[in-house]
Amino acid sequence: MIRKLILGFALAWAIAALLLETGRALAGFDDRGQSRDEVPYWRFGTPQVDELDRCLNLVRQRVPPGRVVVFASPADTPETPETPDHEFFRWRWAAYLLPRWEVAPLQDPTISRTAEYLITWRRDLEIPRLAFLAGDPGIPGCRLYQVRKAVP
Amino acid sequence: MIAALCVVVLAAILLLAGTRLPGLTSASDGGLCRVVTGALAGMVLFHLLVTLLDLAGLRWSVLSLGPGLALPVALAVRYAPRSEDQRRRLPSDLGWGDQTALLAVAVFALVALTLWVTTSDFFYHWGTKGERFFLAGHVDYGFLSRSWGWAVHPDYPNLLPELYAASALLAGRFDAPAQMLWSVLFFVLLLAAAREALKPAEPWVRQTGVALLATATAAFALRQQFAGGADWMPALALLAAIPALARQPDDAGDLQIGIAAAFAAASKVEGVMLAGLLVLAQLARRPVAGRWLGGIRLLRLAAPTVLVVLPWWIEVRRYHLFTVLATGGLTRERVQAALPALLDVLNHPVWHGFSYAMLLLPLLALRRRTRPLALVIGGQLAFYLWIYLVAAFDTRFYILTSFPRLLFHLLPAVLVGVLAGKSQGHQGLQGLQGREAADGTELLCP
Repeated sequence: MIRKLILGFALAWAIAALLLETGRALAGFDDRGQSRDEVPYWRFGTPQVDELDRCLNLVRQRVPPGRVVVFASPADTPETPETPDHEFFRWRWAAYLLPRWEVAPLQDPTISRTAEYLITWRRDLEIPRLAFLAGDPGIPGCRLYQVRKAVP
Repeated sequence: MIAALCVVVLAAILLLAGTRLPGLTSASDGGLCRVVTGALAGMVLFHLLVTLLDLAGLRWSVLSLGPGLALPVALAVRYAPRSEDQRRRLPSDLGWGDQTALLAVAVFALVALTLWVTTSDFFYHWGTKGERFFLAGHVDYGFLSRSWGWAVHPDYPNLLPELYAASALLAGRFDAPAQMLWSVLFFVLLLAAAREALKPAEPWVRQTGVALLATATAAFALRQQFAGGADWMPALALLAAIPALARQPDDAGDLQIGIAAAFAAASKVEGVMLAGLLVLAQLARRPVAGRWLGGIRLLRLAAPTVLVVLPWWIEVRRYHLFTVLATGGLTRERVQAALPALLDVLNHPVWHGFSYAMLLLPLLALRRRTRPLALVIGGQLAFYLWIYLVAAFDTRFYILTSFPRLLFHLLPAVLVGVLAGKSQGHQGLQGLQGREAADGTELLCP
């Protein structure tokens, strides 16, 4: 009897948990257009991901598949120690959204040799080797550059 | 819709291929055991096939994968002795617990298809790799070995991205929502394995157990954003191994363990450890018949895992893909940081308190039938804890961000093991088998 009571209570608890989580998930999905989550919590269909995806259209339209495209977004700063690795996560999203290109992070040690293009998202970069190709005026800091060969 | 259909078709083909293989079930196993083991065998077979194609330098395509899968199945159908167990029946007496479980799966599936509960690991690496492999037509080691490839865990076994890539090949494009159906499939197989393991239990316990596992898992999966990841797979492998671990070793049980181990090893790095533990736990026990360490027995138990692990290990070494885990040694500071973090994981909201079921693990060690399972779960848990205690990361952060997820590998098996172990005193496997056959309440297994 006691075993049945324990099991019955556990099942009731699990059903309540499932109802709660289903409601939470559906409410979050319905409100996805208002999401202001930081990058570790980005999900498909949120404005942040949609904006990044629109910015990456510059690559889809102007860069041949297979090329090495460096992705640069706002750098993690010491002032925000609680949110490190945001740049990393944004880069991973960009790599997922551009499966036909070799999307590299700005911090990669080999990047000065291998980079062919560079796209920025919400970031301004001043690097002499960059030749501006295109930008999306509707998205802050969304610019595509060609990377000139390094002078030996 | 077409992409989703392609996932279902590929899963059905793999299930069909796996269930055609001979010797997968013993007389005491039910139809669900054949389905679960067959599905795992089909996926392992598929993994070996794509590995072979890669080694031969052949691009994956419908033309190369189709005959590759059809050939071993045709050989098995033509030459393997057809036994009665190939006509094993599926249960048709769906009780209230089964129906609740199906409802929980449906809820998870509907939400998963929106991509709202997709794990971040899907776009950080699993999904990215799947789409890259689909575009390349092979495991793209050029992509994995890029200097920035460390971010996609290039040293992980590739079964899940391979399944993603193959279903995308069938569909002609990579469709992320459709790929979530693989998680739904693993969820269904997980419940089928649990139901099979709970077969000896009283009907009420069996129904409650299945419903409890389904609803708790669905709640966890929605909160944790669990769709699209590979953590379903080690949990499934462990559950699939329970019936074989619970009875005295026989030929079919050895093969079941061998396949579950290979499936675990093909899914994740942690799965390689789990595979070793499963094989060892079975090997440590004297079989009903035949030699304890006979060649055929070793072949059944270890060959599938060796076939999976060896090519993976060679390729990972060849392309220098191992991402070295920085170890800082066991220190008092790490232990002091780990203990409260582990307690926090038990209280983590994603689990709604069900994580405390891990504390039931010692109960498994008390009963002879569940002792091998306790050894496997305990070994795997010790492995995770050891990694946490020696890794040169922020121990607390490391545990809080990964252990709630890794607990899922073990918790379903603990829960099912406790319920099944308790019940096995009431009713033997053989007795139940006989009763079900007498009832005639079963459907023909595919």
